[in-house]
Amino acid sequence: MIDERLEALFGIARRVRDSSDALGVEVRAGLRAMSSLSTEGIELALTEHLEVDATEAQRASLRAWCRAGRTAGSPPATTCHVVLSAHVCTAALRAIAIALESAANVVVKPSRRDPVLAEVLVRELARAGISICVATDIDPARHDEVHAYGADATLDAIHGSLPEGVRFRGHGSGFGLACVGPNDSIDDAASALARDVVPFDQRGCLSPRVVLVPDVARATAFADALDRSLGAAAFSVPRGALAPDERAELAVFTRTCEALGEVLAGPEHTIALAEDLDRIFLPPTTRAVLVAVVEPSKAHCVVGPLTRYLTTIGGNAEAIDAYAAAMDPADRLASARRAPLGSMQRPPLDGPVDRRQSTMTE
Amino acid sequence: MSSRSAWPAEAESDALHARVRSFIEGVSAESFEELSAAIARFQTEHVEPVRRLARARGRAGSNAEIPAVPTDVFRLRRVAAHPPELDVRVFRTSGTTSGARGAHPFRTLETYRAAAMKHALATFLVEPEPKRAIVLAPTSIEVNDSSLSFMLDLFIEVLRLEAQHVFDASRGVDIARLDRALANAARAGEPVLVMGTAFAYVHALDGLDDRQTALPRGSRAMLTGGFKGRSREVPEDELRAGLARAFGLAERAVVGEYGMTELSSQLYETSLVEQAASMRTYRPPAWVRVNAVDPETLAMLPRGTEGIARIVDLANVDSSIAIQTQDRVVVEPNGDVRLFGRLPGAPPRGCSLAVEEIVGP
Repeated sequence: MIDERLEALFGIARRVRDSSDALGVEVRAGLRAMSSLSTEGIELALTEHLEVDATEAQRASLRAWCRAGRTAGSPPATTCHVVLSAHVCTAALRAIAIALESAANVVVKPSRRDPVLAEVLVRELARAGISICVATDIDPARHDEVHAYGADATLDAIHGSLPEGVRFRGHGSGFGLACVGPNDSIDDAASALARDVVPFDQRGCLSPRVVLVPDVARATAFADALDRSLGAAAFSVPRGALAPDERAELAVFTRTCEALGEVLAGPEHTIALAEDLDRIFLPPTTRAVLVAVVEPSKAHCVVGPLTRYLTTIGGNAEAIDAYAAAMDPADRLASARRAPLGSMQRPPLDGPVDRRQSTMTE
Repeated sequence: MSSRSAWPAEAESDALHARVRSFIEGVSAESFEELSAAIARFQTEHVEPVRRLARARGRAGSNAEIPAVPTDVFRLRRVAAHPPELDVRVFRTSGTTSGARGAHPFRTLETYRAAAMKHALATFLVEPEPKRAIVLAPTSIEVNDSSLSFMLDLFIEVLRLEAQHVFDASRGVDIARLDRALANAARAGEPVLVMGTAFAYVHALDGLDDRQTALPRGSRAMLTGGFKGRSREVPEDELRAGLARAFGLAERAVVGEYGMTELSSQLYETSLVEQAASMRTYRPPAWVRVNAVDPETLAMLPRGTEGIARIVDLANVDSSIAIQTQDRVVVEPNGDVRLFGRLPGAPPRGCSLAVEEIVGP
């Protein structure tokens, strides 16, 4: 029964992916009206980053994740309430998949700013006879589950408002970190990283915003190569329009980086190159990347308290291991996903994209 | 050879400090532009972030063209002409989620002292001269890296105020001590200076629980800083009214101060010295100029237009004379500054961590 529900979800997702299908047409039209992505950015998201299947091993992992954290002897949730934020536009699918595996009934509260995919998926699943509906607010009962997505402050507010006995899983915001090692091909790594930066215009919590490179020469070469790759990407997948507050953040970021190092500013991207940083800092989500010269042994100090916001680390195993060895595994690093460059935005459907919140609270 | 004589630019820096102090004291024949240009040249040569900015921006010359260093840079890189071994004091900003605190190193505090006293005496520490102080902030001995504590201690030292500190660095405002200090001050009948941050005042008002003390005529309160998550947030009008009520002051005797760790000078409201002064309008001293710049381009805006503050402070001799803040302002035709709070960061449009979540208020 559970697998049938997941199959139904994937079936709908495949129709959404298909630009000639009525559902594909509807979602594209909705996203063009609601999303800040360009038309090409929407197409990239739906054709390359919408999960339309999962292997048996991934499904098993997903089921295990959904069971994990329940108190021994406590019954499965009757209803799972999903509170979505203005997430990346494809995120509703994974959130609904997790909810379907968690409870017999699902209630989805879409984001007001980006409800398009969630509403279509829920409507089509309900038409297929699955117990799921959209709600403007949630009213969970004892032993229900609430899965909430959003900024940490929002999650705290939702958690604090829940009645006793409601199980809560919160998925906060985060960022992706990439590593380039001494044996990586600079051009290949830059090209792959551009494929991770462009999807969703860098607004996903897996999106790389900082790249660690161990020496100045390779960092400089990598920044130049990334400048070329992102410049080319601007033609194939233009960046969506920036809001005034995003342009303001970008202006200050650029000026800050000019004082710290070098800035390569393309028409739709910004790359900052800096060495000798005591701490990394985050660029705005405007296709902006900080390339920081950091020896692996200093990663712990330089990434510092931001380690707990890391959702994914990109790079080859050798480069990741070199940096991760110096970071604090107790500070949630262990739960960050690891992915090759170019695949940071393609996590398997084996649980939430952000695996940091693996515990459930009541 | 001592480390002091090892810094080749020391004499040049000393000379600039002396010129700035002459300007502060009003005995200099130099113009603001001449002096700012000389300091900018010095910093372009000796302060690495300024040098990098000047190179990136490709110009330097007039006051308007001096590259302004964003305040974030002070969290990420040393902004100083001199080497660390010559630091006599490093003032630091409050912490952020990223763990980085902004640092402003000083080789000498002489110019800072001159700037702080001169403008305070002109706007806030005016007649009738206060005799006592009640301080809702730690001393600079307790918190060595706080520029605010340093300045408050300076006022106490120079004016020889009988001061009572009612703030404990670990526990916050001590209400019992505050009660006693207010009662003592009321009995003494001499003008009192109450000084503290917004969040400390909120704690004080909560603790005083509507108890009111009529402080002697000529008393005043200095209000500075924000809340930064250390107290509940209270609208500024409400806080000012609450302070006036609790201390028996006219609202015009609650004077706002605007300063930041990255600067060496402060701006004050002029409500004590000008009957026509608007509340929340801050006056820079003669050695500070504030311009509003477009937040999206950082280009200078005409006076009267809202933008974010770019501040040129001549007293920042050994760091960066021009600072780019994210505080929203309108600069009046006479150079006074109306403040509207910090530019909010872009709200997250996905699940990506917002810059604002990291930097904090």
